[in-house]
Amino acid sequence: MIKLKNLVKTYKMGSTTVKALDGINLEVADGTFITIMGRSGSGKTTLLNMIGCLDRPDNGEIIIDGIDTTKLPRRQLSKIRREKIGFIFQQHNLIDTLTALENVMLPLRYVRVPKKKAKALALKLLIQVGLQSRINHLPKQLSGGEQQRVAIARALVNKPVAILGDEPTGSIDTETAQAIVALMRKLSKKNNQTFIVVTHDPIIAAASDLVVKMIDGKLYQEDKLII
Amino acid sequence: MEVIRNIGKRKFRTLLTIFGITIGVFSLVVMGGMAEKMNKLVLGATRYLENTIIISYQGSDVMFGMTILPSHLARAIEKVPGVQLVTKEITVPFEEEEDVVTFGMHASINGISIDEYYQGLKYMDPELALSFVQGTWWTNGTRDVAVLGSDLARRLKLQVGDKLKNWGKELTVVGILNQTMTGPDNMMFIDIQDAREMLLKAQPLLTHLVMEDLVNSMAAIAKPEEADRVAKQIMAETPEVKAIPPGKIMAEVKNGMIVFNLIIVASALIALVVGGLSVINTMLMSVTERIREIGIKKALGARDIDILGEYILEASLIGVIAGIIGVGCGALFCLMLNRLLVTTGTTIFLLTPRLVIGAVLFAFLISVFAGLWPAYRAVKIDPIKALRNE
Repeated sequence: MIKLKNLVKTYKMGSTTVKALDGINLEVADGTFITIMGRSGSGKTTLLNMIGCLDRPDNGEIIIDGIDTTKLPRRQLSKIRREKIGFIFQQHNLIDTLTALENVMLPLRYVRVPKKKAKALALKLLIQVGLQSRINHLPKQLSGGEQQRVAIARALVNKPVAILGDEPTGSIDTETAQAIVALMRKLSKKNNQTFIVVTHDPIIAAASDLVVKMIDGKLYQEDKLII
Repeated sequence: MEVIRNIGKRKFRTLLTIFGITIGVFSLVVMGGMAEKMNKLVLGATRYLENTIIISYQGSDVMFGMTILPSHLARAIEKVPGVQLVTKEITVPFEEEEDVVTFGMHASINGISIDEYYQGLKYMDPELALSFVQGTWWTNGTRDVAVLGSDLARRLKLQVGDKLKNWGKELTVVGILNQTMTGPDNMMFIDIQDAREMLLKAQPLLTHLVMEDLVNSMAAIAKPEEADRVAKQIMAETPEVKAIPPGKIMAEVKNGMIVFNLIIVASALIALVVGGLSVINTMLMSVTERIREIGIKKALGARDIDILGEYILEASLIGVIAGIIGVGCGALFCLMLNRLLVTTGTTIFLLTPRLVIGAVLFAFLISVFAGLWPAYRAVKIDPIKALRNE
């Protein structure tokens, strides 16, 4: 379960103060696939960064798996990231000097899983995303869709509570996007993992359990403000 | 593997950095090899001299020139309590026309009494006793024979049984010594009476003096712990001589060596520090180029120590590779030059395990140190800003 309570985040831009998050409340049950839509600059990525423990709110609470992450020191936030969060980025963000297999093994290195076990876990996931024949390829030798599949496998490998996607289909063609969405949906159901995806893509929205909209730092469901 | 791929990503830049450190390590090995050779020579001399009180005539300076002593003084000095033996030598330059500036000691002819040499063995550290590759010492009373140090024999291409001419005398080689890496390697030992005749050829002015009684090197042997007291007593009982205890000689030599070592090693270290600066530059550029990668790793939960370790590992790998290449090149250079100089009887460099290991270790440490600041910069990168970085 992920709970957001009255989240507020403001940024200073020169002399003006911008409210990126203006009292966000949300509860997401385990295994839910939720899409957050909204225009650029509406605060979607800021919200994702807060849930992903990459940034801190000025006010409010973020409860992930029963832990209020806003109260944790910096070191503990990095622990939450490696144990409870998985990230899928728009630009795939694979490490270009690592093979597909090594990229998927990377999060396990940070939780000190022995190399042999990490390799087996990563291999299993790469098979699940249909890349068994590409495991030793470097990112530059993979297509955009294949790179995003590797990124999905990497996000899932440490069995996180929540997988956060920031425009995961933003840099791939429609056909590949449909396949990627179907894959994420399948894995979400199979592993009972929560997916929180920020996107403009209607394909993802259509496949979601819940679609919320972000407008000027506030969250709306079916045009009603979530309180 | 990741570390190797990362440093191989910018091959030319990495090669230049490795080259910078390699030059530093190379100079450290070459300069250090020179210092080690000098240290070995001095260590050999100080070990040999630890129970030796050098006797010279009052007013002469034994450290900077030859002294002349009437040998009957030895009999007076032998009576001083604590003196175990007085050795007398006549030293003559080996080269008849010495115009070559050489590193280390010039080749010399050392005229000794073989009886005195055998007596001296009783008071000498057994490790310092000279041993032979070929032949042995001459027997008492034998004249016109020579025992050659290893470097000298190699230079002159002489073996036991061969003959050589020097200062008007024809000598037969009866022994060739094992290499000691110290003074005796460049010496020719002959009977003191032969040396006396050769000295007259070398320094004709001395013919005006009564040669039978003169020697130009004298030393009293005493227990090291009694040497200072014995030296004072020698001077008190024979006022015409100056007795220099081993402690004083060793202190002067050691002071000289400290300055020598400092100059040589410091110049090599400067080269290595410059190499270290190139590591800082390379690693800082690497951090700047890989900001996004650092952001990704932090988003995936990398600890500060993971990021820090990764960059320090890269820097240290550069250091170790450069260290090994530098030591290899330096050792090759030293060995080649030593080989070339064999013909002159002089070896300039001595490669010791501590020098080789120390040079690689120093390259490793300086690279780790140089990698610290860039690694710290990487740790401090804000993951959100890093992920936005294109």
